[in-house]
Amino acid sequence: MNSIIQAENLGRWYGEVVGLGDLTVEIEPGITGLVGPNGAGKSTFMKLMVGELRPARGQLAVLGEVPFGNRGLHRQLGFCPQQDALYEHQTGRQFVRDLLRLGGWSRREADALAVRAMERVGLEDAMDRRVNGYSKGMRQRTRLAQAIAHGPRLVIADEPLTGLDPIARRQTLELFRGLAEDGCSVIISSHVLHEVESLTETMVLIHRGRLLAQGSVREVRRLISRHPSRVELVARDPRLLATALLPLEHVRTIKLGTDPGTLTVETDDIAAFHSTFAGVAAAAGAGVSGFKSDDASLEAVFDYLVG
Amino acid sequence: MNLFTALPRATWLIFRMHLATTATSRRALAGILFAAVAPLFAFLAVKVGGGGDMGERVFMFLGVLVLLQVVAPALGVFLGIGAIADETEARTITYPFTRPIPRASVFLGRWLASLLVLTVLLLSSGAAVGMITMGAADPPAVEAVQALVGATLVAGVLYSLGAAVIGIIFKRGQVIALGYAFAFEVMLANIPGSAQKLSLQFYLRSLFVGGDSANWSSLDIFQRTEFLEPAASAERLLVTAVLLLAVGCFTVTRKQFVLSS
Repeated sequence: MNSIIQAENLGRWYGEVVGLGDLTVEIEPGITGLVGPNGAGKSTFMKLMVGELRPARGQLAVLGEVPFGNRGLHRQLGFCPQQDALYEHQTGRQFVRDLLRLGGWSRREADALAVRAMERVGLEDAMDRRVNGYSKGMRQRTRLAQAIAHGPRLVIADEPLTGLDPIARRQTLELFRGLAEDGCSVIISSHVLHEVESLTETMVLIHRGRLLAQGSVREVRRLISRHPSRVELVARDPRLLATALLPLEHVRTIKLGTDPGTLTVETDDIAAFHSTFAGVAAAAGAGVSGFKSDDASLEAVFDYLVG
Repeated sequence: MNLFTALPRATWLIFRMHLATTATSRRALAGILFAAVAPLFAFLAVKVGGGGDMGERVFMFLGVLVLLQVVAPALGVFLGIGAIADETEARTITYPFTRPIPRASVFLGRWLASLLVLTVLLLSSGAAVGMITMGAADPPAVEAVQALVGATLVAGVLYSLGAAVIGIIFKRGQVIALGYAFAFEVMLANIPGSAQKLSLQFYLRSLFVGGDSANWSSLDIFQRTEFLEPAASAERLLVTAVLLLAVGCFTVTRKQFVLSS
């Protein structure tokens, strides 16, 4: 299968700040989730993909072509940017229609396509209102409408679910699935793992401008599960608690903290630790007063993965 | 669609998309007030200030010192600077730049929309000054009024184009463009000697006063200056405009606009 995105040693800096470090990745057709914490380089990567920026180093091909200033490629791309910016004086329909006209469509064709796109994003009732009166979610969907209206081969959407209410979120996820069924490839970015997980099996994890992992959600989860989880504890007698926990099979290391009464436990099986901890701690009588597991956020997972 | 057919089409579409917004923008509304300054001064000078018997002198003074040297550059900078800078500031530039159009069309279309608004304002302002002073004793010649209006419109083209290019290149373009128009230009244009030829004002004044400087000599606060013939001046201004257009198109095509999310 031909890759739709091929990036090799891709880098982009903003002055002293690294937007993207050294990214090498290939993305296949279909729906792909681009996941990473805030500041990971997702938006920079997307701006490079749509030709808004040029790489400072490395190579990038989108649908086999160099994206910057490539009019032929832009005909096949739809981009939904993250920034909440629209032409405020226009209605949603005018906004989508005028952008379509820039793609070469006649006024009548553009208007018909704009109406269809606004319907697909669920804004048919509001499309003749000015966008400056739209809610945040409606504005997000309008940005999405202009990205899909011309029937692109590839839609690139930067945090498209941000600001959407649960119903609009479900509709948007359905829309992406529909696009994929129609043969359109979709790359969406998110810093929330479960958002992407509900949409696609394929994800690309980036962190600090580098590829961290790539594959199905299951594969990546397996990769994540091979790394220890960390639990921070506070106890009246941390040494006593450490002595009680150390014999547990799934406990890998225990470190006493610098703050009085604190200790950090690394475990290979966080679920087993959760189920056995309470009993062990009670039997030891170490006076546990704090328990914090930092494996809940994606950012923590990334921190584990990058060491 | 090749570049030569795509560019005019996309320029026209961008022009149409932005004309109404430009005409009703705060910049244009402020421009209306500014454009009213010269006619207001003309009215005060002729009707209130005792200048009713020296229409030509009032006309020349306002034409050179207010319209050409202040109003046209100010309006040119205010309206021209926004061509690309406003899109960047509003973070909407992503949309046209991810469409299959030449990037230069965004610059050209938006600048032309600004230029149309600017032309209406300057034309009104220049014509009003002419009409008010022509109603006084010792009025200016019709040809002089036409020359003033023409020179003012050319000034609008040049200053707005220069400002639009500066707006592409620099983030704080307005400050730089205003600094150029009101510090650099004014100084160069008004100091004696050939340094005047480094300013746009010299060529604009050449268009206005003509090669024989007869009109200019009526302003006895100035030294006598050897101006160019209007045709020679127009030629140099045209070359400047073409160069600015080329720089603007090239820069907007190559430049990366980094927008905050």
